Amino acid sequence: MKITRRNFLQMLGITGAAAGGISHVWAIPDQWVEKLQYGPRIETWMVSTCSQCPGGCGIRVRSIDEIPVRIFGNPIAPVNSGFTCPMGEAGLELLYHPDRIRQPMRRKGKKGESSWEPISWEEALGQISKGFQGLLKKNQADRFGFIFGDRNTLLTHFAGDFVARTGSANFFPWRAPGINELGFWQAFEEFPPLAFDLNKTDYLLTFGTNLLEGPPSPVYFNRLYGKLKESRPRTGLKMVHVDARMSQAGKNATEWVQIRPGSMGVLALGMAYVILRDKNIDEEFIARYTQDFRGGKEDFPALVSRYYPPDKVSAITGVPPETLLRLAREFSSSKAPLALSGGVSDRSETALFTQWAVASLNALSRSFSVKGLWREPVPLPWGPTPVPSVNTRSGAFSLKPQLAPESDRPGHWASEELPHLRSAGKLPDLDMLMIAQVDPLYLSTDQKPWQEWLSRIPQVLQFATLIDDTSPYADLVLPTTTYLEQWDITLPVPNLPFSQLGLQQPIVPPLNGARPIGDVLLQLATETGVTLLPEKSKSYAGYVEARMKPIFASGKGTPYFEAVSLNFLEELRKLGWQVYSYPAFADFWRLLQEKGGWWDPGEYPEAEWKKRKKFTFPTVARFDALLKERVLLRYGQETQKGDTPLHTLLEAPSRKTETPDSFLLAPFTTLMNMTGEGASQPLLQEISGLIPRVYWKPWAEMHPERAKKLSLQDGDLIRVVSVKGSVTLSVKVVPTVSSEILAVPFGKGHKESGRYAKNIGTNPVALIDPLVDPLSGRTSWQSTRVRVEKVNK
Amino acid sequence: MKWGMVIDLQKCTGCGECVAACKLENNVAIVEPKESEMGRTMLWMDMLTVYEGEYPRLRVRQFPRPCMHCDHPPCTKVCPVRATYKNEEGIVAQIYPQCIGCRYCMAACPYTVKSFNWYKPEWAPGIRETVNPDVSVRQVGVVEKCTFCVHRLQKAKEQAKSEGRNLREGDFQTACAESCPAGAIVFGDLENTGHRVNSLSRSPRATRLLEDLGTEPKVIYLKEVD
Repeated sequence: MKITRRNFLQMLGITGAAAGGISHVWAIPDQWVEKLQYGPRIETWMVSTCSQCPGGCGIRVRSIDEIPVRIFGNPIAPVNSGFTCPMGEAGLELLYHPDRIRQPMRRKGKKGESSWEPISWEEALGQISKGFQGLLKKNQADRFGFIFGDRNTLLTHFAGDFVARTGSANFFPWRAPGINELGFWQAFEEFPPLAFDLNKTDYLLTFGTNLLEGPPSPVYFNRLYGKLKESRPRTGLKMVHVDARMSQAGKNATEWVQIRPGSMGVLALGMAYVILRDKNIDEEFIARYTQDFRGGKEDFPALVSRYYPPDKVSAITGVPPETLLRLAREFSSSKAPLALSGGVSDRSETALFTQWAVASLNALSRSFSVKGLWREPVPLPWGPTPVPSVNTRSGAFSLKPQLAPESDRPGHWASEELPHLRSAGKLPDLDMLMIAQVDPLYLSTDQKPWQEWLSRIPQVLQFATLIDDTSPYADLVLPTTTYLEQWDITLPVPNLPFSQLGLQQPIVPPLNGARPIGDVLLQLATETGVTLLPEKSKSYAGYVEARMKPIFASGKGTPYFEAVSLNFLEELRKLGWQVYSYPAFADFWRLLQEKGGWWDPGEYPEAEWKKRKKFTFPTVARFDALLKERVLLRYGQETQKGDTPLHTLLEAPSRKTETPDSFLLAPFTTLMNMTGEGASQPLLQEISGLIPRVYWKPWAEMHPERAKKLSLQDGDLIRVVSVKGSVTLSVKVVPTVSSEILAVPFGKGHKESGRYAKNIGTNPVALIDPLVDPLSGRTSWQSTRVRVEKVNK
Repeated sequence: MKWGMVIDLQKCTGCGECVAACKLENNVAIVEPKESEMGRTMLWMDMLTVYEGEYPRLRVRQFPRPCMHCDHPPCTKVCPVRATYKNEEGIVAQIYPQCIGCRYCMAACPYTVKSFNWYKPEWAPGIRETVNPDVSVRQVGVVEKCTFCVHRLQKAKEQAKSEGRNLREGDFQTACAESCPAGAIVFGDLENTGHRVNSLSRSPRATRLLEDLGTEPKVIYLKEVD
């Protein structure tokens, strides 16, 4: 049948007039014509869980003739209540990406060259299996490692289990820390960090924490910010955002406080100075649940009074003393103050210092005593889940039942440092390295050591949907499924005050010969004689199903349910009622697939301070001891100079700009590209510069005063030069950055990652002088000085 | 019946989800980087930013900007071929096959909501699967803009008819209103006192863009109060 405009419209079931004059069709994609011509146009809907970020939003996918055409939010998913973010919307562009790898690829040329030959799955798996068996036979399991991009799903635990069962300790998870994670681990060995409830605060102070444009869950927090902003005129809620750049969090706050990058911890301690001087502190909490607050010469008040008086703090941070005084007094006088640190504050040389200082501000100012403000995450009935950790002294990675306070840090804090740990002899030589769900060569601030390290490893195997910047250093690239073609469970979102498990299920069967990572690992385990599944599941889907059995058996929670009051649901549950009836597991499992996941409608209980370790305030001695202890870290300023206490090295030295063309580089993330992976999706590439109105390409945000001095205008091209290299960017003159920084969006400038990302824009991370926070091991994004030169068009 | 929209700027967080939802719902073409630099990016829903004052009193106002669906639309008056007109429900519609691409309407629109199709709509293999089959793609040489997702109205009307009832509030929602996480965009019948937009449009915070031009936009903004 020939498609004419008339019969096409008939097939659509509409007429031009009926459609209000807008549905006439002139150009139809070929494949769509075919679909319309032969398909019955049956609409179906399936639910699943988004995995573009770790937020775990429930999604509802609309399919026509079993071809997914659009992603919407799942209205009964508790974390997003039917909404998505732009990344969630764009998921199908990932699924249907024209450059997806169609079969396993073996490297043809030298490492670093993107030259491939396709091979069969059998051949690829045979090669890996042979390599594995060789290592296991020689008892050299520790020469196997796995770098795994942790998307907050069950698959991370499965991959960790796979590594552990082969006998290796080298499981390297890669993800951003949660809000307050560094500070809470240091202050009272709390990991993962406590959840918080923004509904309960009347004074929200965010130190670089941008809840609206990145993990843990931007949709949840955009919803909540909308609600809080609406009620703000009635409730008087004050929201203050402290940052060198006014991110969306700053734009939606009641006040933005400009600060020099890296000096947020100094501001927090300066506020502590004022609060202590005013004696407006939470005496009861301090007396019962903290230590090192009073201890003579070496206590917290001594640290603060000696080193952080307002004039000195003002000189370091650039925040005027009167602002500092006002903030401190407002914060300590409010009924439910809440200070959060995360985002850019955990990406600086002073990351842990800052977060510890901010945690101390909470302890000092009644935040921890406010009813319901801080919540205690309730563990799932799965038994203890091993935690990937890294030993601060030896640098060794391992999976442990829990972190050891004195010697361990969460493993993901140091994954970016792997080549340096190897150079320092802290990691064994690896014969086989697997990489999945992460692109270290794009994300790493120090790419050369990564290139060299990966070049030395004989077998680098990568699971990927697209050839990315890391692929040229892999020996074998295995095509893997997207989250829309596989089974998985998204785990409870850190920092959110309730528990949920989002079910991922295949909306379509795997496309283009891709296979789910879980199934590939399972097959490899079977072939090499590693027992991976005690539940005797034959596939990763079976494993996912089996993991929901203890949840069913516990009788807690319910499959997602139409929104009613949480309290009402909790009351029903206490009375023995269940929202749904599921006498057998099969019924429960069917409901999970229909509804999209499970949640516990009761919010987490209040944090109990009695049962946890006492909160430790920072002191000079503790800072100095930490600095001396953490010898594994690269850091150029470890030696003590004169009488200067070591900890003052953490005060973000030399932050002032020296010459008119000198700036501090400040990369930032946007909601359209939180992880760098958004660049592969054209919708996100185009609208990532929605606010500055710069589409596709990155830009450099500069304060009007500095732009005037340099005779620069909007749209002028500049060359940005650092010790690592130079890039050319167009200037956007905006008052939303401090005059000392040059803010550049992160996420562009991929060397690979498909046609929509390849060689479009520049990657600011490649310009970064990779300094490391000596206390946490996190690489700083906020310490690189750059010079700016005007480029003639 | 008069369809209209209220956007509460006190709630809007400027996340841009409405922009993404609109592009995907209406198959608004994505133009290449080079063309984009020439100002050819097509957004039916845009996000405008206004900077007020200087630091420390700097305030940044962000507001989503769809077509205003004016009651007195300047664009329809200048169209030489009646390719754009206001229908009886107040929606300013476009008839693509009738458009000759003169772009008079683009010049006349004070809100700059219209885009011109410089290219034949093309999708890379695979990506074309993401096209919404409910909305036609536009031909090269025609002007397009926000339609208040009128294809959804058609569907909602048919559904209501099949159930033998009138349209209810919520039956017909634009993609932007449906997707806004902050709940800042409300859509409905401005003349129906049972619809939220009706009461919201009479709020003391209500304002319209460029009111003095007399275009009488049916998109009403509720001003921020802090």
